[in-house]
Amino acid sequence: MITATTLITVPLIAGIVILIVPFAQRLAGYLALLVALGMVGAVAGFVYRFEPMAGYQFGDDAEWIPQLGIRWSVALDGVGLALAAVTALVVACAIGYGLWARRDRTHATFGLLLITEAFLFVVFAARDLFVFYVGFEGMLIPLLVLLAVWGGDERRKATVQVVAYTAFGTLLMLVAILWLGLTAPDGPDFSMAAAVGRGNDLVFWAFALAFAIKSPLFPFHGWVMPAYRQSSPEVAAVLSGVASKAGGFAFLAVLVPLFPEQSARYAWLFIALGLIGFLWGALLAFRQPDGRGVIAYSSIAQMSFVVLGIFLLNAQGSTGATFQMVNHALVSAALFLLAGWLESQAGSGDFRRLGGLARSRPILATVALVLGMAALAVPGSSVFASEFLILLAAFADAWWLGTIASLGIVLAAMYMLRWISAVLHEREGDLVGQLRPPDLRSGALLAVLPLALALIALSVAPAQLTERVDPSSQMMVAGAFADKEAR
Amino acid sequence: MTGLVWTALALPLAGAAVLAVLGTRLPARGAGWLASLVMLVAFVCSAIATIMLASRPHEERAVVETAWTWLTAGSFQVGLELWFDELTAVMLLVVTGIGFLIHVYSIGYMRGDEQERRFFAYLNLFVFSMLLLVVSGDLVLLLAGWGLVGLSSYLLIGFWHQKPSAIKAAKKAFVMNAIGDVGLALGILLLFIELGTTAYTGVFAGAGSLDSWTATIAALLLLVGAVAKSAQLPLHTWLPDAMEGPTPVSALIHAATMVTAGVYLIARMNPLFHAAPYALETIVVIGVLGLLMAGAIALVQTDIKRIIAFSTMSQIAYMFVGVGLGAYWAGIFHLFTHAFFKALLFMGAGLVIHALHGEQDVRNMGGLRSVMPKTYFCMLIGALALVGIFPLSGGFSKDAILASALEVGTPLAWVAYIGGLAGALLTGIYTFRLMFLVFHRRMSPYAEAVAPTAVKHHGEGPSSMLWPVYILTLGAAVVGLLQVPGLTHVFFDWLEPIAPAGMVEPSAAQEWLTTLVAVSIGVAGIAIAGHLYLREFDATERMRLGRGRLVDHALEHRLYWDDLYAVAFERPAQWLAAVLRRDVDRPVAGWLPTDGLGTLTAFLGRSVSVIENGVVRSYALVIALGMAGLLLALLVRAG
Repeated sequence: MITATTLITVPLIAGIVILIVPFAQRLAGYLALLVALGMVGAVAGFVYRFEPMAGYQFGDDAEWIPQLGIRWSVALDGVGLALAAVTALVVACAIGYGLWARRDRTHATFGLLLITEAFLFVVFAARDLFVFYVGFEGMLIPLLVLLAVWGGDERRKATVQVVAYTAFGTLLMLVAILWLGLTAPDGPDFSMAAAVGRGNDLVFWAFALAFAIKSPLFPFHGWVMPAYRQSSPEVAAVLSGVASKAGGFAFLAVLVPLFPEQSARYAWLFIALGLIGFLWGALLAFRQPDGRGVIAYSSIAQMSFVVLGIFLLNAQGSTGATFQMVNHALVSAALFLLAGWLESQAGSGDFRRLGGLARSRPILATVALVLGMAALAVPGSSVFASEFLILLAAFADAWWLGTIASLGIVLAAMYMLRWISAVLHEREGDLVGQLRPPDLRSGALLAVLPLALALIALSVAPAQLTERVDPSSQMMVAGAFADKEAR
Repeated sequence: MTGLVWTALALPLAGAAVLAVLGTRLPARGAGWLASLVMLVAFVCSAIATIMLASRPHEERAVVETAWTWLTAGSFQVGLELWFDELTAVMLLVVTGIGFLIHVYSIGYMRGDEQERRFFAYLNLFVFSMLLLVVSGDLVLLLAGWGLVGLSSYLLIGFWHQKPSAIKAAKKAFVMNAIGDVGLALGILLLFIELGTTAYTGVFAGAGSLDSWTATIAALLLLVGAVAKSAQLPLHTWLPDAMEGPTPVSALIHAATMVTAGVYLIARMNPLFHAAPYALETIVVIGVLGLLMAGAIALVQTDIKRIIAFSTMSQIAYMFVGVGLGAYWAGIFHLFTHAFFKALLFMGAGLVIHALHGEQDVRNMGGLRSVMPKTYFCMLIGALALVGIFPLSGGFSKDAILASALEVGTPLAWVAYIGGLAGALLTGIYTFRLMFLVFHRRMSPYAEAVAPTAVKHHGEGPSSMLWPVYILTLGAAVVGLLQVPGLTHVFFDWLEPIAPAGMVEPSAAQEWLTTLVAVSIGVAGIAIAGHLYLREFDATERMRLGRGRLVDHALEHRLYWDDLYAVAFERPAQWLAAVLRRDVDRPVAGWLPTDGLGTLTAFLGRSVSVIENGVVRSYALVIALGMAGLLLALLVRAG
């Protein structure tokens, strides 16, 4: 029987094996890809078997460290499953891209990516706070190694920044988790269920800070730019596409259900930060000199918008936020792969030196257009569907909130159009003229295409996702919502 | 019946997909024919469906069908819902019918362009989006179509993407329409919060129960979308720039179909607007101001396509006046006739531009009547229909709008009546200014050098371009006869059921009186144009109408709207973004002094250099062993 534990252990073991067994370089890469595709299949099976109304499923629960009341407790609900599914897809595409790009030191690259995937699954499935902590902290280690070793020229500084910011956040969270677990009324108990409503404000803020940094929520995004700029395309795709979702997911699935009272009381603050971040990121994205800069700041904007949606504490907000995370994972992963591919072919991502790439490169032009239009949430796209839900939730909360938030959507149109035309249209940049980058083909295309197709599929029938997510996400905000109503 | 409508909707999407996927594997010539064939079948499906609809009893003519649930969250639910009634049928026929002709025309127009396949893929995508907009039975789905037509319009305006001006125009159109989309979206959100649904059935049923403020705000928000899409004041500045796109695009999107979507939206949402009289009055005001302003600006333009573009804006403003007065049928009737004569004028202009090797400045034309007699005749019919000369189509529909103002009779309606008649004078002048400058007077040196040889070699155009023009000429001449005051009543009767609260209908006497006045005014306008522009002409002479410098300067700069927006929004936003990026973001986000963490940096620096020295395996091994230990503990404990 395939359970959530299988989902976690298979990529973990496979990752470790690939890391240490001296396979031939190519073989190691193909093995990693095979495992990653297997995970896509496994998650697809979960999605197929999933019962939306039945709560947490595919779970395991066993004693782990009984002296401390820590249990190996994992299970997936609609929200966790949606994010696990998109994680599997993004990691598979990232590995596929790395394979095409012929990354050196194959064993470490792909082994570490698989290990990251395993830890992400831990985060999305954890039902025990200690297990959650292991995933939340653990996923960063392989990513940091990947950044520190294969990153760009300033990778060292970037690594230090990521470590400093995230360690700062998670250290406090660890203390908070220990406090919560050890002060349980009937002896030590780290299960999430036992922690509901027990935390005080201090504990709440310790969690919130860790999640805000990881998301990243404005103004905790200081580490993002260097990390997204310096890492290799496939690592940037995983970092911004799925690793950041651990933060958003944790807000929705851990913070809000565990601290309903504080979540309702301080919701305004998160809404305000989300709103500011949404506009802030969009404005900054508009002035970035290169593709990665645009995508990075748009990611800050989008994740801030997600946090805004979560703290509206109603059905449309939480479902919309989950959906938005899935969409953003697909969009930003695909865009980072594409931007990285462009850099590798043209030698730079600088807008002033690119341009005119659409000419005689129909596949690149089509893929970039589809992704760009999805990113700017053209009505009818899946991103539009999720943004519409969050806007609806915001508008229902207060009309002015929805109205201000809608400004960010116009700004998104402006910066994405700028990206599209700076890359594809107008006069050829000097690099394009000199290096004659080819059209997007073979491995690179195969790595980006599944993400684009997933976006198109979700545009045709977004309800296939929202119907599965909605009961779970409503459950998560139910406590805080009741608290908010009572206020 | 609904199956046929679904087919008409799906076919262009399939066409676009096939063209996009097959791409260069398809012969270049085949792309145009495939896309046109798709349109022909879609048109036939629409026509049969319309006939089937007509054979039903009146009360069964609004058909609703849901294919699948599109989006849900909590109590919010949107279905992929089809709504087929009399208004949908009119729009379907216009979009697929005119669309088919323009597809065929494009086969000739785009011949030799290396990007032909991409062009037809976009064109089919546009038709799908437009059909989605008109057949949707749910506001959110309408918004999806609304956004997708904006997308295809963006793609087609910027079709020649190596031209920076084209890309700039495309982006401008997209952003202004995104503002409209957001307005429309907010209106839909408000309706959902008040009524609990976004499906037409629920909105129509509940519109009457809204309090008048809510209804007014919702209607005004929808109007923001309508104004942006239909290039009306104050979100109109994108339309003239949109003429950067290929001419068939101007004919299809920026004349016959997409830009009239705002009129469709208002007519469709008439139960809501009925509950919001202030919003209706706003529409009339926007319409009157717009038709006068656009007409006046058209007087001094020198680009043949921009003259027609401002004319389009002016004519849509007439439609706004019509629907704003509650004469929904008259607004849609003008939409219908306008689709014929305006597409005709654009396509005629395309023939001229073709013969002149891409020249669009009317100062470099002249005297083409003798070289291009067929084009001249067709465009003359179109121009007369535009001015509203009896018995051509434009007159019946425009006069129906004006006569409805007489019937309404409020002070505002009188303003609309007089404004509309003044607009008829402007229409007469600018339309025949164009005709005289292009076809009469002496040939400009450029035209003389180019046109005769071009026509001698290729004729006035390939038959794929000429035949659609002929058919549209016939249409522009006769479709007005569907609704001759006192004689035929087809259009009103057909559309009457779409407005449960009733529609304004003028008497035959009011209509004939209006026609008499309007035709006289139109003829006067033609006479003025003749007086001003039929004389010998030096190509360098400026195209001024009046003597006042200020007026000319203002009109040539389109009344400074673009400059206003640049100063009020564009520059401040760019400045703000630049300041945030340069001075603010780093101190705000960089609150953790990572640079000062000396020990950490040093420590990490060391370990990173260890990795770089090639012992990555050993470092990774440490992590791996740690994890393996964890895993082991897990398995042991779990077992």
